[in-house]
Amino acid sequence: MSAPSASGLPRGDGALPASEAGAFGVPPLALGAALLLWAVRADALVPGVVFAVVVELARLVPWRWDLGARDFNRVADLTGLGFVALVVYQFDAHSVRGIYEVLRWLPAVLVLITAVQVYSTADRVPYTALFLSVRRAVARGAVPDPGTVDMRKPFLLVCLVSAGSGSMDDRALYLPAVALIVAYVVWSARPRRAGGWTTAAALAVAIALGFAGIQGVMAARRAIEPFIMELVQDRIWNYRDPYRAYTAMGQIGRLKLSERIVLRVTPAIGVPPPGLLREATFHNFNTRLWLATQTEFAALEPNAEGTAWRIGATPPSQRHAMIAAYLPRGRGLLAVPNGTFQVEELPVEDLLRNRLGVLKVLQGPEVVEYRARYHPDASYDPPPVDSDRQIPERLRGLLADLSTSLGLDAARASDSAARLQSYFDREFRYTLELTGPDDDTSPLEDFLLRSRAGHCEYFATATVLLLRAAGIPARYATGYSVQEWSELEQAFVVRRRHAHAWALAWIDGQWRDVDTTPAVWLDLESAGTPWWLSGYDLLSWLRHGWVRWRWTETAEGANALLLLALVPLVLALAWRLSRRRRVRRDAAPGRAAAPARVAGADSELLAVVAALQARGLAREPGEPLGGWLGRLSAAGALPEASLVLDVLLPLHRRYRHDPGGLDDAERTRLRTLAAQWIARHGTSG
Amino acid sequence: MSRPAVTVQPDRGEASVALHRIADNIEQVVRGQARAVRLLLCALVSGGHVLLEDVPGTGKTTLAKALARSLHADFQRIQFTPDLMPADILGTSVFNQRDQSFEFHPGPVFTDILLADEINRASPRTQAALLEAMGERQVSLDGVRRPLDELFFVIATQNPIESQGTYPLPEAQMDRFAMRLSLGYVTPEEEVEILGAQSSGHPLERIAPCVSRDVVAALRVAAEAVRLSDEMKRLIVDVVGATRGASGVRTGASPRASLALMKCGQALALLEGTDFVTPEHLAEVAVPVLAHRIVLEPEARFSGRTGVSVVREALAGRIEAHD
Repeated sequence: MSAPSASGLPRGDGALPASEAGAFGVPPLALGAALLLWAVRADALVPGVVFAVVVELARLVPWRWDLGARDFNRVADLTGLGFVALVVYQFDAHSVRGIYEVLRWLPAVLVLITAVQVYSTADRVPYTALFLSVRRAVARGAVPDPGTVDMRKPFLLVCLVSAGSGSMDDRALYLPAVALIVAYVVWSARPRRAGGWTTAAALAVAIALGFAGIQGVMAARRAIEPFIMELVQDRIWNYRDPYRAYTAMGQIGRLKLSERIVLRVTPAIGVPPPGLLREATFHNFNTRLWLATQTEFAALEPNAEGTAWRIGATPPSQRHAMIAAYLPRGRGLLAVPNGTFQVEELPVEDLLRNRLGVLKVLQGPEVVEYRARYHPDASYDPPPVDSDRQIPERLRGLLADLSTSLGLDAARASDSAARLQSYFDREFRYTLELTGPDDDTSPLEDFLLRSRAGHCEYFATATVLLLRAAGIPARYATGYSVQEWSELEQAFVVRRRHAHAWALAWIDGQWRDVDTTPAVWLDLESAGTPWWLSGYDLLSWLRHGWVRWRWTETAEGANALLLLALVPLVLALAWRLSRRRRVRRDAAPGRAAAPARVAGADSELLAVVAALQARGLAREPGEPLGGWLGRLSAAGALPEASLVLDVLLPLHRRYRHDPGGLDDAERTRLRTLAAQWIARHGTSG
Repeated sequence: MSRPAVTVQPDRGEASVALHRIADNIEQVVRGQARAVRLLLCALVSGGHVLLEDVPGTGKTTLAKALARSLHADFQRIQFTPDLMPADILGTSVFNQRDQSFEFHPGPVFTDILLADEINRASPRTQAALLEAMGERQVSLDGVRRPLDELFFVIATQNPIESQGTYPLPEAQMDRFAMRLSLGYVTPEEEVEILGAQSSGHPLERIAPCVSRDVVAALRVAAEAVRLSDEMKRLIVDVVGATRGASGVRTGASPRASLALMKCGQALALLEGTDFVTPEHLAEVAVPVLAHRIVLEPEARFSGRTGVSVVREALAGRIEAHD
């Protein structure tokens, strides 16, 4: 074998890197291309271009750094710190979405160690640098040679994946670019025996399979996403917008029902619960949208303790109910029965109310429990205004005709409401199937004239507008219907699917609930009760208990809780540190005890070896000293090769391994000659 | 144990010269296989047997014959076939009508150098007969123990590419070979030389014995006298022990392997003309001595791990630690 292997050669003296496209190497410009693709996709043009130039320029510069394992450890540690900082920062800034941002910026973190590798004399980064566990194992002696990795390969992969983490809008650029780069890398590493056509065909098949796979993943994603969205929306549902309510009127499909428990109602003993809990009230209708315009919220004045808010004067008779609700991010609308004149025990800063009687919390805990005192037949909402009488232009004729034919009359408002109720009960059907109009008739017209079937939003909207057509002020209310008694919780539970809409009518100087949706709706909706519901309810109850406990703790308590959570972490860390120290302590006496006598361990040739290794002259794992020195000599990298090989090495060998050892003259010779060699060549590297 | 009288008692320098003379003699015939010749001589001197694993036509038989001729030793060759019986190797007793007695006809195993060609083609029973003879250096037949020649040296060959109709040697039997070698293809220049050398008769015909067969016995004695420090013994045990605990290994190398590694290291030191064993010697013989004794887990085997890679990993770090 005449050609020396590349890894033992010094690269520092002007030699260019050895052939880059080895069997599994990264071919020239592939890294640069991947970095540029990343730069475009991740919207990081400047850093991307700089990185690409830095990484690719290594092929042209004639020098290399001499780096040892310890230097790589430092760079890897720095990279690790950078990664941790990136994770902390991105998750802090973007919450869950931070994972995409971390992925997006990962190349910027990893570019450091990759660049250090390409500018160093080492072709590869030792695993000891990358994994602390490997470092420990090596220190323990469990792994004599942990091996090395060419960082360019994982880095290339990270760049491509990271480039894909952007939006999928411009897949037209991304996928072909990735296919091209990967094809280039694979092509340059193809086996020698494989013909060009075979490789090309295999690549084409692989790329086609890849594209098909992506289509499959996208299809799966489309199928799964609605479920996930439903889960996610649990978080935002409760924050109902007090200014607008989008109805599902006119949509096609089937309303999705959720079993999630949103409210828990405990009425006073022996008293029925309030039938409807209102969250929001609206008065302006626009095709399929209910709005509450010009309804600014104003803070209510709390009592002296700051936990009770009075809305109206105390009536002669009253009822009360405890209501537990979730307020995502500490804000939201309070669900209360119509006729609520006082809200108590509410642990929030401010309670706001608008002129439609909607109650809003701006800052509070995520779970609240409050007592609503109410009179079932009274209302404390402010009296009607003009907008409570308005009817959309387009529907005016239809509604006026219908209202007349039904005999609705503002003078007999109570009777009119009852008539409407029986009319809808008789002539209409409740359904969750959404069937939109097939022409340009509005959803409401379609509901009243053709389909005569719909869900509560249709009934409530039609009722409000018909009442208004008869001259009775009316509003649209949304909230929940209280139906289900839970033995487990000893309370009424209100699920997401109990969400309801109904009308408020101004009858005899009071706002009254007018619910015209056929009563069958509840049966219909509970018909689909899933088998897992009881288990789900149990979990839901436990979760509620946990959240409530967490939020009723004082702030100090919460901090103490956090500290408590930190305790096992600190203990684990301390344990690891103590163990590590113990390993070191054990190791030292162990080493001293193992061989009774390491003969000749003070041989000066070992200093020559150290000097050569400090020059970055690598040694194959398991390569004997003589073989290595011979190889260096053949490559011209060993100064005064004949002195080292023919004089020092034989002396050293005898000193170290011959039980006979050296005599004094020879020992002195070894010492002097090695010292001279070091004096001439030891520090120049 | 009685040893025949040794006519030559070479010192270290002479031993090295003698070995190099044999090596040069063989290399007149077997071109471009200096490393294999070197290791073959190591095995011969260490008293172990050799398994040559290589494709046909790489010169296995020629190598064995050249060695036999160089030593002026007896040479026998057995072509292993599925119908080969133990008696075909060991010999058989034939009834002599005239003397009214059984007469022992020794088999080819009673020789100095035995070439067991394609050993994996014979049935396990026949293989076992040979391997027992190799281990014990004697043959028990009809209740009579017949010692084999003192020099007795087996070169078995095995074809790694054909598996149909073969009986792979059991792992336990592999352990009986001191070394497994492969010759490999020579360089094109050397192949041209081979063609040239064969143009006028086979060069094997032309080589003459260069040492007497007694020299081998003397070399074996000399090899046993090569010094081995405690540190090197420790290195041997460490490397062999490391093959036992390595990942993907079902059975590592045995203490017999440690012994073989030591003897081969001593033999190589003798060949090199040094009178003590260094890590270089052990590193050079470790793979041929240990690799074939390592039994891998099937998963490791299918993922491309080999005995050779296990031994290389066992050497990594340990050799450097004993610079």
